[in-house]
Amino acid sequence: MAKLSLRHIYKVYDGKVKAVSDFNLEIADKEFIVFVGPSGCGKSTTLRMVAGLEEITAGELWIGDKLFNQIEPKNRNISMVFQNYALFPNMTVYDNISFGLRMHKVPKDEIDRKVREAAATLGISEYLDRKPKALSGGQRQRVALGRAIVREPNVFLFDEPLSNLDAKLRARMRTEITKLHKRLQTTFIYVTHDQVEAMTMGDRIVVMKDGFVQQTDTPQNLYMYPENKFVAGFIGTPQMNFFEVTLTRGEGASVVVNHKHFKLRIPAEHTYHIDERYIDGVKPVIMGVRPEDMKSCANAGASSVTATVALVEQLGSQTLIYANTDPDELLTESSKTAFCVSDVGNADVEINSQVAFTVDTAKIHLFDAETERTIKTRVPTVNLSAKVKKGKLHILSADMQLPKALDCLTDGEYSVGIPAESVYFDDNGRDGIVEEAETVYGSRVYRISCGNSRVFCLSNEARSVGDAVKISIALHKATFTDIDGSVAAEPVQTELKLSGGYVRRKVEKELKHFIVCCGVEAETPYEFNRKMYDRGRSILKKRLSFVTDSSAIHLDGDIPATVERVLDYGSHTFAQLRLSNGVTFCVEAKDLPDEVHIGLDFDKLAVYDTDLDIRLF
Amino acid sequence: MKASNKNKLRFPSRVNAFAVTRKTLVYVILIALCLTFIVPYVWMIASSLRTESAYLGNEFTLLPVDENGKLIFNFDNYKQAFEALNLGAVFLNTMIVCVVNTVANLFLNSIAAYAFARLRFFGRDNIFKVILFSMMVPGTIMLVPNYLICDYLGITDSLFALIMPFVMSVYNIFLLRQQFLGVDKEIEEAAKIEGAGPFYIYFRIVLPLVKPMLIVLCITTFMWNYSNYLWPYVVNSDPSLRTLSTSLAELMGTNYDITVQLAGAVIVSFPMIIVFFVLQKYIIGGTMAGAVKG
Repeated sequence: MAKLSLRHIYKVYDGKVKAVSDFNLEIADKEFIVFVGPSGCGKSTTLRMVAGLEEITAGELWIGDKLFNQIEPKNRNISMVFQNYALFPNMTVYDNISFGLRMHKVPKDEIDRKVREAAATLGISEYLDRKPKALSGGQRQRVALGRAIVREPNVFLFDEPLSNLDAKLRARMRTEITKLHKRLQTTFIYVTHDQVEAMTMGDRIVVMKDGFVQQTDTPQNLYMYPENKFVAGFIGTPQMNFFEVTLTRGEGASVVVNHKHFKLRIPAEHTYHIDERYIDGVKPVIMGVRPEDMKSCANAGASSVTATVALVEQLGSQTLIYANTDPDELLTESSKTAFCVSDVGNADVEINSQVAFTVDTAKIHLFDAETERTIKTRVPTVNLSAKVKKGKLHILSADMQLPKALDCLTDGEYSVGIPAESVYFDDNGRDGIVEEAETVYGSRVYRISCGNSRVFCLSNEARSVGDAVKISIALHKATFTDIDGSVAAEPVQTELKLSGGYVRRKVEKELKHFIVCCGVEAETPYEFNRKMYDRGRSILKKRLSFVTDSSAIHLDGDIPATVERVLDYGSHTFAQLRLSNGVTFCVEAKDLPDEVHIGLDFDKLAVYDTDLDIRLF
Repeated sequence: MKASNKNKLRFPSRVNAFAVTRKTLVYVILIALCLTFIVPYVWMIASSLRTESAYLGNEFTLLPVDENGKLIFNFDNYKQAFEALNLGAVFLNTMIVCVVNTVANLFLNSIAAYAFARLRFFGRDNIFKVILFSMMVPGTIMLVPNYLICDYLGITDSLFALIMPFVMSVYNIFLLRQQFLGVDKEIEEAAKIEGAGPFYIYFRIVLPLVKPMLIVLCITTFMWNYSNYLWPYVVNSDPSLRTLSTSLAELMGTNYDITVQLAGAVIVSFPMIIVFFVLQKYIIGGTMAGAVKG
């Protein structure tokens, strides 16, 4: 069993160059995970940290139920296949394959049996007496695979193993590695910069860029629901086309995409996931359309783009048409009007002719022009119109008593941002109908219509499309924005963040340790101190920050706090506390005295190095 | 007639005047160089087989001939040289010094070079630079300090004094470090993952990969110790501790015939000549490697 857990993993070289930042991943047993990304994105570094060849700067690596940060590579029961094969040139193929077994003192007859079995599986039996230099690239890679499989490790690591092979051999070896995974039923972690390899081999793919994980999902989901422009452009061949556009509301609930040379209409049923705040005709948005979602057509229609054809590539089964909506602009990668269309078969298109291309508007991707994050998320935060009048809140086509915590809201209209996790099934809630249900990252997401409004609900309760349900909104998680765009009420802040340091001193001849944050001081327990000491002596001089959620704060500690106000949301009541250093946060509690003493659950306390901006644990 | 000449088939000329001239020039220079090195040695061998009267009587010749120009092979010179050199004891001393020094030198220097190439420790690169800087100091300058240190340690007049000062060689460390840097790091990492410890990786994986350089350094270190004259002459005055080079020097200063002295020189140089011919491909390879890397 080899379940892997990478928790907040960082790799910092020489105390300044951050190669991997906050890498989090749960890998199931027998899963085939692929790390993909451009050169220098940190994928190989992450793999090498799993192998134990690179030290983990911060974070935890768990294999099974054991922490592996400090375990030697030879004791991790892993095998690794390298890009340059890393065969021992002075040994025969037999000795290369049997190397690991010999190191682990396996009996000779068993070694012989296993080596010959592995060689037979990989089709290299006749080369066992040869030295690596007498083998071709493909054969060497098989020997490297043989050396890896013969030890029957818990985890296989592959560091761009096919990069040195020619295209044909690479395709064949790709299939063989996939077959090997099915046969061995072991966890595989595979690093590549080739997105075709990633898409064809992985159960899940981790897309990385500049040391950060961009998205982790199945190949199909990465293709269909890229979370940012980078993933959208990286996954898929030919690359996705991008256009600078704005969005406006069209007829009915449809959305119109406005480009300087064309307009497209997205039907209402495909607009529910779009962030409403961008449908204002002003905010710049990047529209992404895959070449295969565009087709040449005879006549220009409502959802078509007319452009001048610049280049046509006939590939047999498909035709790639490179066109430009602005005929005067050159066909370059930086061009904002050029695009590529992948047409089925041999499309009859002539260069320099004006051609209309239809766009499958259901498959349009939309990204924020600045952050490049998708504005068409799978689990969106919806913005509903609400009205406050005489102590009543009108939302989701029904009135409710305005909670005391929201007394600050004056009569008027508001836009309420409702995240999916704030909507829950409640027998006392208002009526709704499930319109759409899907599983996203292991949780069920429902689109529910209540009157004319729609909300998304994130829940683990099973419901089906068409079911009548009752829902409520946890208003303490909602954001109220008034007509002029200023925030009138924010979600309840339950996170406590303290900046300070870690000190030790003698108290009554006994060495004690504390976290000290602007006058607030808390003694730390042994386990926490041990983790801090693991960071080395320099931890005592570092600027640190400590972050915890209010669920990890208890009210029988020794840090004094005053209750600033009580936030009564009806179903939930919070107390806003203020520490002596002025930091405020909320805890869910009722009937608290004016003065309380809080305590921290150090097991759940996250510690950050403020200078390096890394999470230590 | 003209037409038939025009259509006549001819092979393209393979002779390029410039290429021929260049090649000839290269050969002439190479032959001249070879003769410069070979002639004195051949002359030495020929003279060592002649009688002293023949040697003094005749003009320059590369053949072992007597006064009348008749070939002679006077092996008596060699017999006398054997005795004068005290060859048995001297050869044993030389072998002890050369073998122990070479083994210790390669072992210690390769470990140091590996550390400089692969291990990460505080001040590694700066320490290496300081060590490299010591290459700039001529060996003869170190003669007196080395002698004083050996005298202080009380190891003068011993074979140990011929070994200890030379077990570390900056040049060898430098060359081996360059070799280790050229070894694919992934090979070592693969061995590490497969369960090999650091010493196993060093001795069984990495060292075999730099074997050609080790052989070269083995030869050059052996040869250097074999022909080292000045240091044994300075540090050892005990006749029982003579090495071949010092013993030969002593032979030169005696009243033995010049032909006997030349026979002694042939005897002393002969083992090295054999070593050179047997291992010349490694020596040439190593010299080239040093030239490129250095």
